[in-house]
Amino acid sequence: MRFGASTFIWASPFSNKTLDLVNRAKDFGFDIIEICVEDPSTIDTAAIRGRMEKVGIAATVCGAFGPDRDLSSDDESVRENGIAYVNRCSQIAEELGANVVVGPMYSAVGRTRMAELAERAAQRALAARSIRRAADDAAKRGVRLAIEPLNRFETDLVNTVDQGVALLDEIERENVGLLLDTFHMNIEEKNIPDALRRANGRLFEFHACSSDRGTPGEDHLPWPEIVKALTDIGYADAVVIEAFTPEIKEIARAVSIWRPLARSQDVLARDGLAFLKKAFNA
Amino acid sequence: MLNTMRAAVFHGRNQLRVEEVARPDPKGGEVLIKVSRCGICGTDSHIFRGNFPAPNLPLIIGHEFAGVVAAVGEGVDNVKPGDKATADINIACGVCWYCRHHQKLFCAKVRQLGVHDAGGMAEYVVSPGANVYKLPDSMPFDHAAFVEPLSCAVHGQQRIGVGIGETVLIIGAGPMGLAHAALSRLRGAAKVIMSEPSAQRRARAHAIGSDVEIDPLSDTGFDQLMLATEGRGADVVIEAVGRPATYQQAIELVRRGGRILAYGAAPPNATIDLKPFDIYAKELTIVGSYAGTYDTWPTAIDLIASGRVNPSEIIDSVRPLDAVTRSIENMETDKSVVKIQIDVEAGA
Repeated sequence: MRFGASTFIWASPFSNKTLDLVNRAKDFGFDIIEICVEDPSTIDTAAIRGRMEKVGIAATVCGAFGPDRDLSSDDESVRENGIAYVNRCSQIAEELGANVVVGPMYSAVGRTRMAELAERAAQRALAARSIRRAADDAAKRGVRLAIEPLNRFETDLVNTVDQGVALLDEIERENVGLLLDTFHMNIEEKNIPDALRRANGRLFEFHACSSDRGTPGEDHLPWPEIVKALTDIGYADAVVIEAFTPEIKEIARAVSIWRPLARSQDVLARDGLAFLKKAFNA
Repeated sequence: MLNTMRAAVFHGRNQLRVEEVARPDPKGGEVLIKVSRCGICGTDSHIFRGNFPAPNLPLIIGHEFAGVVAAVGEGVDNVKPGDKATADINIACGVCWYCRHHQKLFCAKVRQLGVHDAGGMAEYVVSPGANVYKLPDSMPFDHAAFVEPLSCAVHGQQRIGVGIGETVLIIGAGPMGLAHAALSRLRGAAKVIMSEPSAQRRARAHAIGSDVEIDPLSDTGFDQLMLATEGRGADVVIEAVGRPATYQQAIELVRRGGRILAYGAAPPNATIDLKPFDIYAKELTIVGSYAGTYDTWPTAIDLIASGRVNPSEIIDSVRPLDAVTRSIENMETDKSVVKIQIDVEAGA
């Protein structure tokens, strides 16, 4: 198992000003830095790659999906913009030697509405069509896409593993799988280990997040059972801690972080990693 | 033991590197400490940027260290190999006017480990035996490496003499501001008010003991302070930032007849506007506090050992020795971390 730290733990948006996080993640013992691409123009892949190689750390890439990047929007130009953005993320991944781009790329974060089944199915079809195109572009670069179910307050389209698997079936591309995040699963799944087992063969990345988005392990999640479920389905890819800094108001507001959830973001990362390494017996 | 060690060596402005250097040997009267933890202090950042005199280069930095006694020179009998220990970094001649008056910080020959002589941001450090304190085995190394900064805050508290029932305004919730919040409460302040722009740091201040936290950049600024003191201002203001603007603020926010502790290290050439009439008419007391030595060390040790002050509330990032330069650079920009310690043994 390889362990990763999201740049969202400390920074938003990630740029050369926060390049030092590559070192910090390595210093704390992470194997992977998950580069969050909020604004592609701030991502200097040559500089990041250079730093990664210098310190000896791998990368994954995480996308951020606002209303202008909605791959299931009724507005074709917005969908196209979303597809272009995912393609740009795939290119960034390729340039960083990362094999996966993750994120809730089927809709805009925060888009929720009361819709009829038929409307929902139509939106899902648009999402599947857009992601299929992005997947074909990513495939040429040797990059996989991992779509992330979010909790009900952040999206109305894919909240659960089962809905995620259904969308994957509709996309019909081998290089598209799931990113599952325990923060969201804790809200939506009746049983997290069982839900993980239903993602057997479809799980491309795992976000090990605390139930309150604080320090993993300092929560009520059934970690031994979660680890066992991942082991049972043979999951051996990245285990990434994602959290958000309350210091940067824009991102804190976007993910409803109204108070500090750890003594510091460093404590969150370091204690979280120590817990996960122990939990995974790594 | 190998006869070399890894150490953070300062070569001049912006040049700090982890290098393999000769491991020191304790001479007669000296103690060799194998360092476990060493804190990074604002002073290290000032040294790194060339804003604090470090006359003897190259210099191994680090003055907040703790570890285990590895060897003792002839004549040392207050500690023995295997003891958990830290050392008062202040070494003075002992015979000059200041030394005779128990003010060794002003001795013309004062030498501080990590500022003038080789410090503890290294695998080993040598200290005069008389400066070494044996620590309880039960004290974790991260707490032990906080004895030095806490001793400085204790000195400041002794200088300003926070009294029972007083209202104390602390400007700046950095490591020292937080320590002052804890100590002011212990000394019986009726109200501890923290002024700090970072929300995360305000929350930390509250956790360690401040009663009211103020965002100095908000519209309502110091209304709460004035409300709490019926418009008088604080009995005591502790400036723990070190900027002219916050020093100015301290003078504005102290009550008539109140006291100001000048604790934050401002740039040596910085000046502020200060009306002598204010000092005169308001009968202000302005007190400086530079560093902790003498009895403030055993006091700090006892406060930590007894749990009265819990350094874990303040230390919030522990990094390996290789990260030392980046961490010092980080301190200037990343306010989400309050206190970084270097785990010298990690990855060694």
